[in-house]
Amino acid sequence: MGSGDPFARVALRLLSSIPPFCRVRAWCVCVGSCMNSKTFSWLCVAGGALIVAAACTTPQTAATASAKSAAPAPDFRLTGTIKDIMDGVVDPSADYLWDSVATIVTKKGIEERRPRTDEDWKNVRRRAIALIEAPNLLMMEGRKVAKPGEKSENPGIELGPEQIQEILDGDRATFIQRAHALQDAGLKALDAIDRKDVDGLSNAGEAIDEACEQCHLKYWYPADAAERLKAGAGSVRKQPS
Amino acid sequence: MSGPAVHVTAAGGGTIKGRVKFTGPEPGNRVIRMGMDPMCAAANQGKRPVNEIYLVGDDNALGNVFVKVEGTFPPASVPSTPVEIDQRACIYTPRMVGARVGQTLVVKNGDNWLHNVHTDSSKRNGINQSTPKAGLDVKLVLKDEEMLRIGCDVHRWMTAWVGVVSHPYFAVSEGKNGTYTIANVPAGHRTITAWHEAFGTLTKAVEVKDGQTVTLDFVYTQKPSA
Repeated sequence: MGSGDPFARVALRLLSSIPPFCRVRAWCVCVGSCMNSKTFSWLCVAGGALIVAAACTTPQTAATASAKSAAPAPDFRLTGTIKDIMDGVVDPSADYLWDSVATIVTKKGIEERRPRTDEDWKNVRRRAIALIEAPNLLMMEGRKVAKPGEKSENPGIELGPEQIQEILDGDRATFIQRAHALQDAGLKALDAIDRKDVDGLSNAGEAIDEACEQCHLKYWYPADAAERLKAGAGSVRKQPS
Repeated sequence: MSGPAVHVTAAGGGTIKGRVKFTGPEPGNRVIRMGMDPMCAAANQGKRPVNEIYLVGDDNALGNVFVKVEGTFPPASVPSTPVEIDQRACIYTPRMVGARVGQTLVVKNGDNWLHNVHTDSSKRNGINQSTPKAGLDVKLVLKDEEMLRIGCDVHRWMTAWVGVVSHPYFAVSEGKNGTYTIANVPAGHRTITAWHEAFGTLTKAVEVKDGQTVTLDFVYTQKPSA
């Protein structure tokens, strides 16, 4: 079975696709029992490879699981809660972006608020970066909603931390999806900032608002969502600004 | 702030009147971006619609402040006429009203499109009801005392406040000059609170005498911005 033999080439390719340890065993099975027929040698090698590969599967999986269980602890250290990050990073960053573009009416007249100088744009950009990266902090495995013993600030209207944790743990995929939605909205803001596009930043502000509210409706005051659906309305609410 | 000035008035308890002001720069109201709903945007075309959080009059006078006498009083009949708020051009009008426990609140729909009346109640004043077109009103009999926020789920900028009180001794300060008047207050040492949605609550005490009017002003002092 030389290297020019197409059957042998196929056999070799098959063999090469399995781990080295198993490959040796397959090769031995082939050489020892299938020397006389090219066709048979192909079938033999293929079959042998599959059999040996299957035989190798179990110990390999066990080894992987073992390696997983022995995986070193992550380098990051969880010090804050989701509530801390919302309060310390997400909320002030979003507020800064929302406040950066606005029209304010007073008795004296109208103030058009918007980033004007390079420094203004730089400051807005810093907050956008914080807002985009904050969801990564929120999504970190093991991060708790709140400290033990913390309670809802508005019981009856908002869920308590333990209830929020339960919803989050029960459907982590949706939480990840919501976090990504906030990142996507933040990226829109960043794009507008990099283009110094005031209208774009304002529109991104609405997208951020929507992402925030969709997440709040899922985890913070979901009863509202059910009521809203019952009422047939289509959007979300926000505290007065 | 000077002490309360006393004047003689008609009989039937006493009257508390005064003015609400604030110090510092006028915070201003943000123009509402209504682009998310073309109907609202069209209804406000050529205008700069704002939420009147700071209803400012002359000399820093402040309107939309809910002033009430604290405490419990002998039962008084509840007005049979409802308190009304309208949803017009995607804004609640007025933004702030007072009402009695047991009185009916009617939220009208002056717009011929969907709104949703949704109260944030920590008591028993909860409601969440759609008003899909003009003429479909939402009615709510108020059951408990609280500062009740009303919002529209469809248009998040929409906010109104109802000061729900078990007695009739309350008022909302006027926008033009910040004045308020509470009549027929039973005589005695009374605690008065002023509540504003952004500035918060101020509390003062006053002696109310039969047949007299006492003046009680409130001044919100803004912290200098950082």
